[in-house]
Amino acid sequence: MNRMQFMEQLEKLLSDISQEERREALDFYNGYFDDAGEENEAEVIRELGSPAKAAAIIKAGLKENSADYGEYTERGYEDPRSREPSQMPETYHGAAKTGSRSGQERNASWSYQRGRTFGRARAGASTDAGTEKKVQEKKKNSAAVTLVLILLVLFSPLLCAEAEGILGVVLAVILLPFIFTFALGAAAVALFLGGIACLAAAIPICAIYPAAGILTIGIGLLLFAFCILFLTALVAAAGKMLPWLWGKCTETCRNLFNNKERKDGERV
Amino acid sequence: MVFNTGAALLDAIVLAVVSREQEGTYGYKITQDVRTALDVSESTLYPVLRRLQKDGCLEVYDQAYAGRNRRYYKVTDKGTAQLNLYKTEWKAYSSKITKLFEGGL
Repeated sequence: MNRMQFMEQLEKLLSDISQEERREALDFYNGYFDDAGEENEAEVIRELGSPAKAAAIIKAGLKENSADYGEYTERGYEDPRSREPSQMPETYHGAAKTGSRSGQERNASWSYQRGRTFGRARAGASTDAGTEKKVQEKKKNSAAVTLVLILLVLFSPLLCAEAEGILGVVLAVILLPFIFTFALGAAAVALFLGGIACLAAAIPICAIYPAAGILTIGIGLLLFAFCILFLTALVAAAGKMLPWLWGKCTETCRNLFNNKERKDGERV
Repeated sequence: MVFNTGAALLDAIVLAVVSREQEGTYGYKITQDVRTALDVSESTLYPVLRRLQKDGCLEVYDQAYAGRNRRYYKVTDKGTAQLNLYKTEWKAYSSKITKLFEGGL
C-alpha cells in the first residue's frame, strides 16, 4: 500500500464523521506524510498501521467521554471526592442489604469502587471548573474561619465569664499566634509613629538646645531601627509561622478524617 | 512499555514537547519528539493534538513551507497553566510511587 491508497481508504472510512473533522484529520496525515518525506513513506504507513486502525483511533478521539477520561482524573483531582463521602453511590447501600452474604458483598464493594472512579471521571471532565471551584471553596472556608475567629475574640469576655475561664484559656492558646502577629504589627506601627514624632520634635529643640536636639534625633532613629526589626519579625510570623500552623492544623484534621473513612472502608 | 500511559499523561507530554518550541512546532516533529520518550503508535498523537486544540490548550496556524502549507501548533496560556498543573501533579505522584518502591514513607 502506498500513500495515495492509504489516504483514499482513510477518507472512505471517515465518511461517517463531520466534514470538518474529516478535513482536519486528512490534512494532518497529508502534512505528516509530506514532513516525513518520500523516503520514509513505507515506514510511516507501517507505523500508522492499517487505515482502519487510524480511522478507529480518530473516531475514538472524537468521543470525548470515552474510557480514557476515567484515567484522566485519577491522579490529581480526587481531593474533593475523598472529602465528600456523602457522594458515594446509593447502589453500595442498596446492594449490601439485599441477598446472600459473600457474593453480594463483593458485588457491593465493586460497585462502590466503580462509583468512585466514575465520580472522579465526571469531576475531571471539567477540569478547570473543578479547580476554580476548589479555589473558591478554599477562599470561602478561610473567610468563614476568619469571621468565626473575629466573633470569638469579640465575645470572648462573655464566654470567659460563662465558661469560668476554661474556654478563655483554650481560646487564648489557639489565638496566641494571631495575637502575637498582631502585636508585632501594632508595635511596629507605634515605633514608626514614635520615630516620626521624635524627628519632628527635634527640629525646634535643635534651635534652642543643639545637644538635646541631636539626642532626640538619635532616639527617633533608634525607634525607626526597632520598627524595621519588628516589621521583619512580622513578615516572618505572618509569612512562615501562620501558614505552617495552618498546614499542621489541616493535616491533623485530614488525618482524623482519613482514619474514619478507612474504617468505613474496612467494614465493606 | 510495561506501564499504560493514560490520557492525562499523554496530554502532559504533548504539551511539554510543544511548549519547548517558542515559535510552535508541527505534527510530524511532535510525534517524533514524543516517541523519543514514549513508545506510542504514530496514530495516537493526532486525536490528542486535536482535543488539546479544541480545549484551547493549543492554537494552530498555517505557514508556507516548501511550497505547501504546514500546520504549526503552539501552546496557549491555558495550555501553559494546564501543563504546570500536570507537572506538579506528576511530581507528587511519581515521588510517592518512588518512596513506596524504595520502602520509605
